[in-house]
Amino acid sequence: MKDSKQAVRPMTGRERVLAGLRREPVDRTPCCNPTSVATVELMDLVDAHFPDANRDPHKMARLAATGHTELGFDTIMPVFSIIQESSALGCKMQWEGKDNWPTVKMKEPIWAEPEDIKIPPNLLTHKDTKCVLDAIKILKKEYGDDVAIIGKTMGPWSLGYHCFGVEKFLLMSLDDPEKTMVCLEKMMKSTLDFGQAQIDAGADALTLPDHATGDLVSGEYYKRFLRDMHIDFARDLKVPIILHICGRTVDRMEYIAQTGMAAFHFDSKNDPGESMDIVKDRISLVGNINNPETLYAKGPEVVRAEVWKNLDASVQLVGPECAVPLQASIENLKEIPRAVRAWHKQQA
Amino acid sequence: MGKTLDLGQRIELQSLDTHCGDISVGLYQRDGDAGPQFLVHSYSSVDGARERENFLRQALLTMLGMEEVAGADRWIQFPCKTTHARALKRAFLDLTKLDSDATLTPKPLTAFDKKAGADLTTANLGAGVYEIRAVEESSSSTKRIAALERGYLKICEMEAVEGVKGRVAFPCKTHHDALIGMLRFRAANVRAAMMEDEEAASRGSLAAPSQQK
Repeated sequence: MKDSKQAVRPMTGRERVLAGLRREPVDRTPCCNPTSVATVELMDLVDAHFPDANRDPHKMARLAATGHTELGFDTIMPVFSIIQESSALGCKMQWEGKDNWPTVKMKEPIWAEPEDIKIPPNLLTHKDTKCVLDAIKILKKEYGDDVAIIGKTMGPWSLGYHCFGVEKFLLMSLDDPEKTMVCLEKMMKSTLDFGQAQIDAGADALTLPDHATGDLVSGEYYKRFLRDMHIDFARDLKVPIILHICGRTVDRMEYIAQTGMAAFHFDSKNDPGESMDIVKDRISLVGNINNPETLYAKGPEVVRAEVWKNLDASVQLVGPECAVPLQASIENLKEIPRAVRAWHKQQA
Repeated sequence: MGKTLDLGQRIELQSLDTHCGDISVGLYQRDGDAGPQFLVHSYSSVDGARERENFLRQALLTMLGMEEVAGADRWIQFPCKTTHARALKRAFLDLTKLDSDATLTPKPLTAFDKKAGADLTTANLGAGVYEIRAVEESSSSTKRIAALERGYLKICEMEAVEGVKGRVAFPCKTHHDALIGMLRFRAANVRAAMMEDEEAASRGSLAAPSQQK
């Protein structure tokens, strides 16, 4: 990795992450968690359990901080789930318990037509969005400039799934692309307002999940519906934006690299070398340690091999491919920063 | 300074122990001088968490025939000093279903099998070899013996004894009566155990909205 070999003074985690997002020299590759590294054992450790840790800012901040204090990541990400603003928009929620993720009841959609879309005036004061803003403020006060605090605001495609239902939203995109665009444009306000509020609260960067996933949406679909919208997000939200899309996405990485976003958080279904070849130096990559097999079911030696594969490919920021399973083991997660340090030591 | 510990590799987790305030309890493995050693640990500090750890540790000692590691507080091992990973993991999860007040008594090697309509015995032949026999032979008991044999091969990672039906052996060549008794029910119902494992593996993973049910 050419940048990492340049002599630079020791950096704070925040400096390291922000440099990685800008593709600038770093003292070592940043360990970045753009989604969630919360686990049931970490919940026990700091007495901050799901579902409360998604709804109480103090618990949210306490659990999120373990990503840095216990696991050694250079980031803290308090927005574990993908449902905070959907709850504020009025979606019906299933909060689940300690050992599972809260979800939106997408079979009970709240909108059917563009005119139904109304971003409520209390979007940012609703309990479940305010929780995020307050947690970011708590973390910023506690960790200041030492660690990068990352927020999360959901993109309009994901909000479409949540608010219209997956099947209905996808069918609309096939039957009436123009109507779909109207819907997406109206939902952008939620993405922008919630994102800006997190920046104002102290977020150093934002993850923007927009689930145009490889299994249901093609690369051309991404270009047609989302690329320009993502260019607007990158322009209007004045912190580095990390786009997150699950699944095999090499067919849209060229378009993603054109958005001006700081980074793309990519899935382990994409080879690091192949992905780097596509995006070249236009966007940083973050990833892509496999969750269901490696972090959940394998041991530290497999984690290390995947971390090194990313580093060998010059991936700019290393971390899990998506929110880690709540049952993932602490030693596997701790292995990510350990493996990064070991790789750099070997390269020195 | 972090509060998490380096306990080796966590090989199993009960993420929601309903008998102790929904705490998570892990089973950890490290390599000792004389083979693998195991530890029951919870990161919870709620009242009763330490007592729960102690109960589960005692349950492994009694119900699986494990033993304490000399000079290593709280760590335990099999007398044969090997892993028996699959059997241990399955038994650990089953033991977390016991209330801490439960009486711990090793399970017998003979038990009534409903489908066979007879008692089935898993007899210890020495050197880690066991033979599954029916007290009264019938066509249904023969089928059940074969099913139990397959179950032990899978759940306990035992080996078939060539040429002898109903005979299985531990690769460590050591007897494990308690383990055989403890997992008899699971060996007779492998499919249910596997379904439980699959369900546990899918819980707690965040799916993209398009993958959510």
